[in-house]
Amino acid sequence: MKNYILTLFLILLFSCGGDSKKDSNLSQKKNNISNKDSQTSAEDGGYGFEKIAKNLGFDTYEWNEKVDKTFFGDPKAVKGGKLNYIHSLFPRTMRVLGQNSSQVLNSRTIMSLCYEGLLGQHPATLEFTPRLASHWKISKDKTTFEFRINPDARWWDGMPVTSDDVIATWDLRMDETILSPAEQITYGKFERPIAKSKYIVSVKAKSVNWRNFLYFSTMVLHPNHILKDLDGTAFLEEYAFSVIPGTGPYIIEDKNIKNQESYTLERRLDYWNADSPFNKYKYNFDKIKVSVVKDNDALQFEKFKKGEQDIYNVQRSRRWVEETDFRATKKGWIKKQRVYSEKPAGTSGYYFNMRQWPFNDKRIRYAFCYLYDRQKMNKEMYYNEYGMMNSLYSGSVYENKDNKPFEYNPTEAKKLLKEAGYLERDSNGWLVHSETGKILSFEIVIQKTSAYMVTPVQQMLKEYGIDMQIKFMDYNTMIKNVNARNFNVCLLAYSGLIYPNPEGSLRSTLADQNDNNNVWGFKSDRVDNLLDEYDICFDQKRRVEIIREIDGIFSDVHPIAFSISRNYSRMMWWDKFGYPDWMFSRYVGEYWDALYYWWYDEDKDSELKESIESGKSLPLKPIDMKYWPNYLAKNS
Amino acid sequence: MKNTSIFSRRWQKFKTLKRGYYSLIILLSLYILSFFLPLLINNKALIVKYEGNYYFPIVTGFVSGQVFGQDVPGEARYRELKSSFKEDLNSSNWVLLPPYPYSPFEDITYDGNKMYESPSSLHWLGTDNTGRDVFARLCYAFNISISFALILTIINYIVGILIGGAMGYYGGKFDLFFQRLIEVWSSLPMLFVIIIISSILKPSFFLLIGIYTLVNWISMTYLIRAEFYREKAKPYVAAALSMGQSNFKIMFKHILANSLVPIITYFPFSVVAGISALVGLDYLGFGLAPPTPSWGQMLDVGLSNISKWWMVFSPVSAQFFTLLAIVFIGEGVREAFDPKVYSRLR
Amino acid sequence: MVNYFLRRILLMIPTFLGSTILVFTILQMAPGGPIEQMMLELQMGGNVVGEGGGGSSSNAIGGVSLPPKALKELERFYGFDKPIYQRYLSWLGVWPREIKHRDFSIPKGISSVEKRVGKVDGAIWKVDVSISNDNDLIVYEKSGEKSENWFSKIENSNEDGSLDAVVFQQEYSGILTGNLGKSYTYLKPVTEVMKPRFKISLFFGLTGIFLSYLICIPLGIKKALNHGSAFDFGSSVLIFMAYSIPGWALGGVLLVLFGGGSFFDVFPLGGFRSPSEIWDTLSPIQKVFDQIHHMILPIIAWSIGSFATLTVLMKNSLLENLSQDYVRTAFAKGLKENRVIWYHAMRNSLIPIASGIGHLLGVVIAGSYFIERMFNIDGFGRMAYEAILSRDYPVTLGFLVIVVLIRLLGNIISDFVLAIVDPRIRFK
Repeated sequence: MKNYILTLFLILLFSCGGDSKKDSNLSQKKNNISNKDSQTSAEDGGYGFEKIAKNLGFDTYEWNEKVDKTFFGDPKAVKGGKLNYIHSLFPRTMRVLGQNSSQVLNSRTIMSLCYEGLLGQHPATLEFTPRLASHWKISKDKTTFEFRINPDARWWDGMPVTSDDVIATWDLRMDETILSPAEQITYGKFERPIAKSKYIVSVKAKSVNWRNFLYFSTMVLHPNHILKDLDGTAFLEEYAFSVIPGTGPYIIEDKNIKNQESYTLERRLDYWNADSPFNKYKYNFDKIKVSVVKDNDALQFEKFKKGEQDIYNVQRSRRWVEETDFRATKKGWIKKQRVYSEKPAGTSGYYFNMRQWPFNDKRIRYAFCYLYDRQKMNKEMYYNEYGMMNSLYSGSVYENKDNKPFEYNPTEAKKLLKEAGYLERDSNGWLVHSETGKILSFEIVIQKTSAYMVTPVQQMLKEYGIDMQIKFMDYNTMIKNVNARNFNVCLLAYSGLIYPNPEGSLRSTLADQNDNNNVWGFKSDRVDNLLDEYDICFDQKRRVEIIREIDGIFSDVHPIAFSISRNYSRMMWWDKFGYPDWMFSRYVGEYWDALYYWWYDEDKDSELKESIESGKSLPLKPIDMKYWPNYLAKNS
Repeated sequence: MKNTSIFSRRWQKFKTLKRGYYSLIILLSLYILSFFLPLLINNKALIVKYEGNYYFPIVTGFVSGQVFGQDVPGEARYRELKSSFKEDLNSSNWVLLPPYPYSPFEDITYDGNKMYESPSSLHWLGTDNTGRDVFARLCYAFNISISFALILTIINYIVGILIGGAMGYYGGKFDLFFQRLIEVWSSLPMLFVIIIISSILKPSFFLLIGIYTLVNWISMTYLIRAEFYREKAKPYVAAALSMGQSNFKIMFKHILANSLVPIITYFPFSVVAGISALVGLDYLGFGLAPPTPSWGQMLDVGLSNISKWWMVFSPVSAQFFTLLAIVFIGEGVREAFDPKVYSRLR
Repeated sequence: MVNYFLRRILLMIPTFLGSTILVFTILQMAPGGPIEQMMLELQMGGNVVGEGGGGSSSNAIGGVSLPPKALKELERFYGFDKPIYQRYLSWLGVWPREIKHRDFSIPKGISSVEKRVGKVDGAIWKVDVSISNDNDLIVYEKSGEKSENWFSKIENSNEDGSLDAVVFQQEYSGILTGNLGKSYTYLKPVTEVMKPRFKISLFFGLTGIFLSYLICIPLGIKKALNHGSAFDFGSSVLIFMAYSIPGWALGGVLLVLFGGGSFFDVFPLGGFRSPSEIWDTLSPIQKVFDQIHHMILPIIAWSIGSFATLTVLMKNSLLENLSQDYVRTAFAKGLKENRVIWYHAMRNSLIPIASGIGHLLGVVIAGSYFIERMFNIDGFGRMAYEAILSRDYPVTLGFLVIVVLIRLLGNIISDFVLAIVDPRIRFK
């Protein structure tokens, strides 16, 4: 008995220090990956392939120590420690494909950390880099792609990655019973991949489109040796809350999934590609715990202040300006910075329905934009935290700088309204059309949470006699109405893509159909022609030109009153982590990059603990972190 | 004749119960006063004398600022007008503003309005997240909340007494049928009904009352049914029956009079429940369309910005005082209307 | 009396059917069902309305609409391809429910087709489907026997003479067999989704009720005995102050004040109990403390609103009884004051409070969305609210079934309690 208690005591004692000891808190067993494949010849993609790849027409990305070492993590990084993060939702499933899987949380954590695609993308240049595949080849007609899978690549269970895995994954994605039609639309653009050998797989796209290679090469793989006994329905059921083996640097064991509460990713000690220069300084945390606080940002913030969560991303400017100056930030225990990057700002603002009165009239749209005083709102309500958006591709290279920036201009607005026939105001102050006698009145449908952004606009318009009625709806109902084109104007924010894809929102044929992204009913022959050209244009420079022209045409028609944009993320974290100089990567620029590039710094943590104990201050950081803007200025 | 004398006796009794009596007077006068809020709390002038002409914007409605030589796009800014007249000592122009010259709708759009100003002599209860005056909104919301709750409660009572009374009194098949109906009805998912209706119609004051009545008459009906059930077993009902009184008379003259106590005790709670219901709906975003002033919306803003204490304090205390007054009235009414004398014998 | 309650219980059946039909129909009318959500997903790939707009950067496709084949598959999965009465009946469990589907096609002139239908006992399960003379499809297992599990039917005959067919399993499984279906959002059987949350809400609700009764009854009595005194007035002000602050609002303030994030570190920041990795390591006594520690703030927030109602009900009820003739008689008979009050008057004045228990039970079960959200507790109320907003019909219906059942039982219990405590009431 005594011994028992002693052992228990010792266990407790040691487990206390566990966090700091490298690898000690990871319980998994190491898989043996020494069984190298010596059967397959170099021509078939086996070892030695890299020597003959060039002759076979295969391409790859060579690691360039000088240029690349800055962007794939920081050499100062050490492995170990734990990152606590709180999200507002528990994943609806732990799968990363199939029904209900298209959640951002799934793609940021599970998909990026447990699985890999054939190729990766360079975080700074967006060039393709080796991942599961070491080499690739694009045929002359740009429709057939070949990939050579790295013979070292292993699944969690030690099985090698082969061409069959690519085929099985494609099969699964094309199976309708996984209830995820998006997969069939994306991957239906290809014919079934063919295994040329154990490691060389080839796939043919049904049409020419520069995006096809991107889609296929970044598709994350699932193991054939498991999928072969499953059909879509069985896959949905068996892996709803259990993670199918992957190849990535992290693993989620079933015991670490507490449904609706939390899940913990553990760093794999036997990750096949851990020593590659592309990964060496990435994936540093031993454990990443994602807990859930549903729909209650205030509580989430309190939990961060208490230290139950390590990083916090501030969404609202009010919180950032007024609520982040508490003791811990003043003392420098919690750091806060605005991290600038080149992440696409997306498109947000008031989307007009150009199919019906009153916004079928360009003058009314323009008048709305002249009266919508976003500068004032930014100044009075958002603490001047934002910039003005004037383009579909605000802040990116695709932005057409000639777009007319709409600023508050009542004279112009009044002139336009007069031209449109609104001359007089009635006794309530509303504008009346001189011929029809109709009051200029329309409805905006919003969710309750955006009320504070819309009521000032309502007052601004009221000042000039335009009656905008606000109607609250829950999200589903609102979108349903928008998709049935049953709205006058609505407030939407679409996220931006690194590679713009204006097809869905600007194609003329979609304007008269429901249930698509051409919300505003945009039609233009010129844009249609440009879209046709864009899809088959493999020259990035020309693509930029095309998109800029589209952006210009769009801005002239102006189916949207652009609102404000932000090209940084507001980040707060407990000062116990190390991170690369750039903090977040160039095009992602958001807090979840911390999961991949940051590391736990033991010295900083003990300094932090000491400072908290003694009330000592730590050095503060400047608010703005402008690595990427400076980088851009230096390199262009 | 007899009725009036009973009523006046009760009224006399009620008057002696100071707490309830004064609460009633205060609440009632505030409520009546709240119908004249546009005259009291508004940014529209009551009278303007300008260049020899009189204007009554509060009656005539929209008057462009240009009429008074103001360089503003829309309606005249009467506060500024007043101060500009004051500077110009020679002119005979003057403006009569409401005593509290802020409207519940004007926000940062008006120059000079700032969001989250703390309470001051200008803005008695500060301003909210879009720079609107909290006091003005609080007062306008008072009128809306009380009206909502009163109308809702009265409708509920009428329905409840009619149906519940009949159920309790007649019992049998009638009772059985209505009980089933009520049970089926009460399983309606309220939120769904509101979501469905609001996807078709714009939620308005009376629509909300309608929806709420659909659901709320049930609890009242149950209460009254139970009372009638109990009272029916009492000897005075049998006596009345044997004297050949009609069912209607027995129900509404005798039983109702005797079941008044719980019904009246319940009244303030029912009014309060009505107020809270509106607060809850507004908080969830299924209530009245913005920018209608509402306590629920204010509370929502306050709770997501707790550091702005006046945003929490104002709606909560408004609710508290209203409620307290209603309850005191309820207590007074109960004591006064009770046919039995509340005195403890020793 | 026994007859009466027996009848009441039998009468629950038509009510139950009536309300489920009503709700089932209404659910279908709400815009934005699961298929529409799926279309949306396709269209947007996630968009959030925030001040500064969205900002994700993935390679997601967007702006495409649902292909007809996928739409058919989805409709079939959710059962929307059937008329509403069939859906209702199979939800009840009196109409066969199709549970698994496999599409296949039969080329012209071929009478038997092999189809892989999944896995059985770890091996791949294949069946043979053959066309009988009168164009019915019969499914045979590989052993040659007619399949007991799989059925097949022709869906469509194409121009080239081939047939589109579907092989499916069906079962009688519904609410009557205890199967409430599978949640759209949690992808788990509804019963499994509801069970833990129900327990949590029940735990909270019962504790809350118990505590409020424990406080309100004595308080109400004291107020009634000292009617009109300063104590009566003061406590009235206090309880109404408490009543006018919404419980969830108070909860939010308490969390900020005592949660340890900003001011005093006294209580945990929400949650039903400690996270399971800590909870599992606790000793039973620690578990009790941990539970209480987590529950204090939510219980305060939960019960603060019911204080006023209960206390005033108790007070008024006792006051009323004290002025009744029988109390007068009792006093006249020379009984001691204590005995009159505590024995005679009290018994009668507890009636309205006791009869409220049934209704209260229903309220408890429904949980409180606001408080559960505020304290990050995964309870019944929050589950239902989220199910409604995300149009998770099976969970919504499951929730309603439970609530309706409990409400019905609660009503019966109320009447039963009323009959027991009040001898004047006769149920026939």
